[in-house]
Amino acid sequence: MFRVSAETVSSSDLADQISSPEAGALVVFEGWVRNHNEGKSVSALEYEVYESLAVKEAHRIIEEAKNRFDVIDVSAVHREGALAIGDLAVWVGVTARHRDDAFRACRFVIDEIKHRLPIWKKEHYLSESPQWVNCQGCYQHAHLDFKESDYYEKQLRIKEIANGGQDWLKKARVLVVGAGGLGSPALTYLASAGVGSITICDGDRLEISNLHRQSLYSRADIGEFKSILAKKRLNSLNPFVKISARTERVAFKNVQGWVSEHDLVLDCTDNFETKFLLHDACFFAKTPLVQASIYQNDGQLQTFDPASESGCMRCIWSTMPEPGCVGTCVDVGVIGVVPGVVGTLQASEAIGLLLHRQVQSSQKTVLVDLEALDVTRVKRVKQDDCPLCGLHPSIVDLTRANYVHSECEIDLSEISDKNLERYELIDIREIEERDSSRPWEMALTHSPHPAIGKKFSQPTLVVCQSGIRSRKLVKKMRDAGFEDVYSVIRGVDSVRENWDRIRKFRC
Amino acid sequence: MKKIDVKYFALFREQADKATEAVQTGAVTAKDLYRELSVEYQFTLQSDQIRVSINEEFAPADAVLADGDHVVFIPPVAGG
Repeated sequence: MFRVSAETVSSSDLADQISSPEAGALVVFEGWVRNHNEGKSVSALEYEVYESLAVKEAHRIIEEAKNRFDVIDVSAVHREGALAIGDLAVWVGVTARHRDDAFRACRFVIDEIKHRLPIWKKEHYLSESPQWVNCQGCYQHAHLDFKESDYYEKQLRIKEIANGGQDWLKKARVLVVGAGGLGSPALTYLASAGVGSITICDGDRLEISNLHRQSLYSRADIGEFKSILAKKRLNSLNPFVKISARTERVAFKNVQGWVSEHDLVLDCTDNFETKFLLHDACFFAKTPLVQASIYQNDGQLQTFDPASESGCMRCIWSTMPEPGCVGTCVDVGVIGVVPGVVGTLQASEAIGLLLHRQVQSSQKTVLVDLEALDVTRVKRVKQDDCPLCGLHPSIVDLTRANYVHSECEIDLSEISDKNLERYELIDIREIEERDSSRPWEMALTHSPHPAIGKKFSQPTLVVCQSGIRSRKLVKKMRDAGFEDVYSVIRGVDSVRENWDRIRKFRC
Repeated sequence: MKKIDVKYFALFREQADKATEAVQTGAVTAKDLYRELSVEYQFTLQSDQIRVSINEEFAPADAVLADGDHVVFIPPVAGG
């Protein structure tokens, strides 16, 4: 909130008003009356405020700050009337979960207040007659006058957009799963085209090695949740679209609810489990899905539209391919521009669908080879024996077994606290793979190349970097007769995400 | 013998070290051709782990090849 005060204000009272148990940081800016300005000695100040406009504009600034930064609350007060040297003239306080957002938002708010509020200052000098100075609020910034249609001016010149298309985009609710290499361009173009409501779902935090391909982010963002960073970036790009961020991963417990709240889903993920889960959830919800995958220089794009008569993904891949049969971006590498191109194609197909077009990738799987700059389209014919959309389907709901590679794998988030306590966590990675600066890695029992013997007699969860090596080991252990042993899906990343629960029993 | 135009996608291109080639082959089905090429290029995927496109349409692995067919071998990919 913002107010103009004719009375002295108390910094501590103001800070108390925005305190919150969720807040990890409070950043306060205080502007004081100083005794000199541009070489002249100042004895006192007077502020004159056009109050109704100032309050309205300040509330806009606060809203902008809340959209741009991950803050809990923002409050500001500006004095009016006569002030003496040392008096508090302006106060801005921001609470946030983390200090970085609190600092950045506080800086933003005071800068904008100085620029935009209609507040005039009269300085009284020791040796000269008083003067009105720094009439910074006398002009309005041009950007305040922007309307939503100004954003779309150039695309509104296209007949299809002008004749109803822009409204279709505005009404659309789109779920984008994965805010990485594919998600970065896809999200950028959906938001800038004016897709009215976008939900970003990504459970990862930004790492330095993401930046060569994930164009939504910058170096200062490292360590933060990508979905929240993406929301901020898109809000500043186009404040007229509603962006929601989810830091929870897509899983059994949430996928149906999330899909049902949207008209279209973009799969920008990087693993088969999520791709199959999303595909089947969209099939049951009759929600179109634009899916993309990349491998080094190549991309693959396909749209599964329930309104189309084409084959679904299960018509081609009736069961999930084994993980590790082809490498991921992490293992085999990727050139940053490849997801850039393929994610852009995904946005293009998504916008096509929202404009009620018949899109190419709903009939055909599109294979893009960026080295040869070659595009191959492969027609997908519906298969009568498809386990999902065929004549006698065997997959009739989202049964867990269809989305794990075997029953010897487990997702840590699905284990209850009570069960979690029973298990020993064993890290089978090589010593050089372990990062000693991370407590969640060091808390695991380290046992590379374990012999399959009695040391596994207690209930055990096996962890490796990504869940592939641990799965192989657990299969062998199951074959050797051990039953209460599981491989942790997604390996050490999953341990990190569930660390708050695990530490209760380990530390 | 028949002439088949083969296109390699993703890790096949890497392993064959070429994007396309015209193959003279006695292979009857797509699977036969894949096995033949696997020997030559040491493809790491088994024939049941891949999908085949013949003349720009997904086809079963046991589909019979005809002279002049365009074949693409498609590995599973999931990167993002």
